[in-house]
Amino acid sequence: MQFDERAKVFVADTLRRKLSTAVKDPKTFESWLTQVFSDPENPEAMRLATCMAFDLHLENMEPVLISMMVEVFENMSPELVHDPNLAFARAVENANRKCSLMTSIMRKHTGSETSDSFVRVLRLQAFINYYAGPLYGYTVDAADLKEVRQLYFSSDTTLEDITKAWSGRYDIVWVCSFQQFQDVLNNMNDPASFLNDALGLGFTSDALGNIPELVAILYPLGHPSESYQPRSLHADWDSMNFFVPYWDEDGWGRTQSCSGEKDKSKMKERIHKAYETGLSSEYRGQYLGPVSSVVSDRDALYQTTTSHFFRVYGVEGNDR
Amino acid sequence: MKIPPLDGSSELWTEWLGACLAGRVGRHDLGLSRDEELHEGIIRLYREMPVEHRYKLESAISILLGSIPQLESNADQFFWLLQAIAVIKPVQAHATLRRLLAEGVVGTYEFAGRSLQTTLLVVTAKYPVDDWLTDVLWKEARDTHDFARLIICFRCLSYRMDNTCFGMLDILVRHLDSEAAAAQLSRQLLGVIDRLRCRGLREWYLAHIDRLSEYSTEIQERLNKLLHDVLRRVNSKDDNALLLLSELTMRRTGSLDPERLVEIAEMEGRLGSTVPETLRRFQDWSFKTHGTPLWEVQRVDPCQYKGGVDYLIADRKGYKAKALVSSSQWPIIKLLGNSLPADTLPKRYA
Repeated sequence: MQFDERAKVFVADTLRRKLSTAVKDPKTFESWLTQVFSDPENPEAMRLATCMAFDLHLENMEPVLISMMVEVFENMSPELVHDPNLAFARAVENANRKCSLMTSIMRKHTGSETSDSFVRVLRLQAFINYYAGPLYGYTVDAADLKEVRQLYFSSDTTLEDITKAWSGRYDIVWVCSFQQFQDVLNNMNDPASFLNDALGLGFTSDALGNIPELVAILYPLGHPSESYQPRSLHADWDSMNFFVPYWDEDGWGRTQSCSGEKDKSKMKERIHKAYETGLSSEYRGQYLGPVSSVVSDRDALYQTTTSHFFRVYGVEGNDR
Repeated sequence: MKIPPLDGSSELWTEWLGACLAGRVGRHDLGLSRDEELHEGIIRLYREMPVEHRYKLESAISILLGSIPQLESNADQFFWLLQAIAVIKPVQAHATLRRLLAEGVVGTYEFAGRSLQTTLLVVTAKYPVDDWLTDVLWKEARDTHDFARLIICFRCLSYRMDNTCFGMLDILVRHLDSEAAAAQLSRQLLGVIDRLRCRGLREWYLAHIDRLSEYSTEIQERLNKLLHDVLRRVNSKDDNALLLLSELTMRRTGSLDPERLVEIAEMEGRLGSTVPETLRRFQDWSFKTHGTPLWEVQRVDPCQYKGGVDYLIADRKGYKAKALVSSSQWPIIKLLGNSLPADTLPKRYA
């Protein structure tokens, strides 16, 4: 799929206008930008640039976001620029070590719904990587997978023993709305497969070649006290994510579903900072089950991204 | 840097894996999805390689494990390699793992919320746990002040698939100074028992009953509670689990009704103990604890009660007395009824 030519112009214009004078190394920034627009075979780079331009265009944007984006380009390796998404992802990692990505959050979008709590939906392997592994040293080999499944997800269990956790390379945790999660459990025949699609997870097989299994961590109401609407800087641009920027004032993000089906792309997501002290007995683990295969529609994702950008940029897109 | 072709040389694969660990290969090139980590991409790649080419990646992993400079800034590279080794288990990597454990340099680093020393222990224990590793695990357990590391040593030792790991409970119990620690030991004990069953745990408990009083009341209570929780969740067909649960129940409540006592004696009978031994032990304990037995085991006068009854258990009120019948081979215990005629009871209860 080719991105809308007008979008390319507007995106390039936005990024140059907002960032080129601010970055200390305009040469790396320019060569990154050139690489983004020069490779028609790499729409993922264009999607990244479009999402960034979207954020930069939002009204009432806090200057701290620009500062963080500038920081990212300060940490970009010129040797990696040939792969814009890889270069950007590594630069975000480096910048995050110096200055937490969470400082780039636009506080205006932190509105919370106090009647709702959070749920983290993740693969069993990810539960090991982020929770059971840091504490007990579990790995993702088949025996450990079996043991962790048995110990944590053979019945509903509380997670008070998880006194240590890891939140990945960006120190960010993505969570969804408990109310929506509950609706899915109550109304869907195969909630694991639905969530795999709707949350833009898109898992088809695990590293060992088995069908991925999803589990959930159910948060107590009011925890954590601070959570935010995700922005482009918080997505992992070095993997096949389905992030699309979202503007709604409700303070939630909306990751696109893998299939691109609109009714599935309404799952609300927020992010919160990494926990420093692990979980408690108020957190519960729940087994969701294996997922059936999902067909990913990247074209639909590119289309939604462009359309969202046009909306904040104030022009009519072709698809509207 | 693109993934090498399958017919690429081992050197090319080593160079590529080095670049991959150093972050110069895109995660998307490895097909990683959201929430997937680098080692999962390496494992997937290995699995998808034709078997006859896998040695190249095994060799690359082993070479890099032994040749990456032991610098803290390389902690992430060691971590990803170790995680991949836990699954792929290249034979050539085993000696290097032991060397790294013995040197103790990489072990001082941390990455992904984990100490690399515990990661090294866990990954080395994915290979057979021999006497050398057993000694390392015991030394770690004795030296560490980190309860999580101690628990990991316990689990790794259980991979020997004998009951020696239960000996480490002596050290673990000393560190049961918080509810979180109790919850962690409880969780890991379940996993170990799932592998080894309960005989070792019960034997450890019975051998240490007298020494448990040396610990604080809080620790004793935590241990009792966590053992209760664990035993309730294990497979109910494990006789040793039931026996230990009964023993704990008795110690906790200070009483065991005759019916439960008969069950225990029956189970112990199946496990080789004789009924009189079992009954006598419980009676002695009851006497020691309460000054007076809560129930009494009596050898029955054959003239007093017909039908092959050998023993009676009577509680202090008498009306819940039970009769036991023995077979010729070993005692098989059968409940004959909830109450017996008054004239079959010892006189003091009648």
